[in-house]
Amino acid sequence: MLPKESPQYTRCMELLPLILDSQASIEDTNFFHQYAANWPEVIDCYHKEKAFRDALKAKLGRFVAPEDLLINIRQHVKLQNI
Amino acid sequence: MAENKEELQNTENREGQTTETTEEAAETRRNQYTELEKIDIFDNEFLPQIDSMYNFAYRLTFDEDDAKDLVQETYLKAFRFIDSFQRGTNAKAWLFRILKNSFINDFRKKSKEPSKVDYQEVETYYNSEDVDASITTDLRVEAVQDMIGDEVSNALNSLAVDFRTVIILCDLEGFTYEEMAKILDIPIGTVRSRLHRARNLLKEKLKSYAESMGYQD
Repeated sequence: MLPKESPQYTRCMELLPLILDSQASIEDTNFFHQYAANWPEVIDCYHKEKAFRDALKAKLGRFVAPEDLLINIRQHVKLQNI
Repeated sequence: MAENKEELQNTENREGQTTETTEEAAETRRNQYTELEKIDIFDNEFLPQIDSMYNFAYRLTFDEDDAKDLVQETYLKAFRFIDSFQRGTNAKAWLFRILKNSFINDFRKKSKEPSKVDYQEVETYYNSEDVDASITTDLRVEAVQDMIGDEVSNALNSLAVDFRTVIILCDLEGFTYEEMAKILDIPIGTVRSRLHRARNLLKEKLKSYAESMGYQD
């Protein structure tokens, strides 16, 4: 078990948001998964943040474009193109 | 992508210049698509994004008619400046950028000005590569899971538009930081810091709801 003062801990915390947003490089992702398990609070934070993002996405849902919008756009583009 | 960014900027510049001449516009164009090619790009690369575009527009305007107008205006601009689009590149990001600028330039002026945020203080502090996850606002996720969509939507809608936008782009639309930076025309470090701040603000709003529902820390 590595201490919290270790550079690996700091790096894992820096990488956490990137990992959660799928923005980390493969190298950084491997680093995170190699070291994060050393600290339960890092893993806990990861799971909490991931659950928050998932819940947000699920609760907000998506608005679908009304059918007449597509029809209107096509009509206007046709006119613009004449 | 850098080339596409330049194209986008050219498009936006032209949109903003009402006195520009046809010759000037022609000089900045990179492509000369045939009519058939234009229709093909429009139908196969632009129109498939309509649901995402509408979702984004609705979350910016909170109004069905305004959202429809905004999306329609965006598509018409996209068609008008289609020669600035590099075929096969990221059409969704290109369209989102036009939509975002149309919203800022037109819709925001027409409607009540949304609240503005003093980013200077926030971003001076957060605008670095080492955004610290340990200062994330704590929130019991099960509280969010128990909320109805309207409560979460209201919390999101109550955020200033620039904070709301980064959450929509990242968490709902799945854009990368790099794509968001291009859409919003801000550095990647600012995308990260703004996103971090936006999520914390949203959590604070949701925490208030959660407490009113009886959840305690």
